[in-house]
Amino acid sequence: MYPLSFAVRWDYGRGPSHIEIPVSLRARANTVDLLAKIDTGSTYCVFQREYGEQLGLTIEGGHRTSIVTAKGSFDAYGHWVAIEALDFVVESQVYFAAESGFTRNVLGLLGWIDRFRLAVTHHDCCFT
Amino acid sequence: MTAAPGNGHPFVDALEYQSAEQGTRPSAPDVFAVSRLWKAPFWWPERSKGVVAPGSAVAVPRIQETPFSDQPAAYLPKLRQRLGAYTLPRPARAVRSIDRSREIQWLEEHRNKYSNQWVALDGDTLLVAGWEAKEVFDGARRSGVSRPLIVRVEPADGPPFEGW
Repeated sequence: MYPLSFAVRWDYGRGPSHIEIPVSLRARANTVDLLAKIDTGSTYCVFQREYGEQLGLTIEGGHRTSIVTAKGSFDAYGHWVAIEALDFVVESQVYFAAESGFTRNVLGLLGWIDRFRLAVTHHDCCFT
Repeated sequence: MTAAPGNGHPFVDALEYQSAEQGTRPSAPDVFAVSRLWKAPFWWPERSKGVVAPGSAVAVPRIQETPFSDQPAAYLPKLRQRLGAYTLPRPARAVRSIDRSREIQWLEEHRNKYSNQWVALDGDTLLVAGWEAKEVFDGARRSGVSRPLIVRVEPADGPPFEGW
């Protein structure tokens, strides 16, 4: 047995399809509020370009990377932002998709999941 | 959720220096520069004991926009030259996040009607909806609401989410 204790429990509801939580991104004194999916299969935190633009970021001024997916790859640019979610704020480099119309917002391993001890109990649609 | 231990003290997850290939200790000015940039005490990760093993795989930070206003400008060119893409763990700070349960409930109830549109929500109130993100962001700003939730509504009958 490996007992663990947690400070926060979050019930994410919305049936069995995915885990999505409210997130706030902050940079340059600007804030955007959105919903993002938690994806342990994603290396980075990646967001739609539109959110980065609303933060006042010059998207192409960030660290360019190509992210590989099952369907191919897409370009994204890394920027340092503050991520607020579930009563915690962390500061991380996240990536904004180069293309407008990119439809995913994902909290991945580097920059968010790696900052917490996180337990998912999908049977109860919650995590702690 | 609990902030992981070790985040109580900021540390560099891994740094890549040219010196790493020779198994030498990163130079003091570089260490100091990173410490000053992040305004935090800095020490070398336990696993490396102050020496980066030759050929060790390490993440390479690249300095982008940071929230710190007094960046030591003299250090930045040198850091940019020697560092690459980075993830630099910082302590997780406890805050009180906005309760978005009403917005989430609204989305579930109106998902079909606003499928693939951008919407701005304040609680269970729709502020503005549209097909273009910019018009919705601008409309939300004009509404005067300080922190609207702005999302592109996913269709209820969309394909399963498999990361990408």
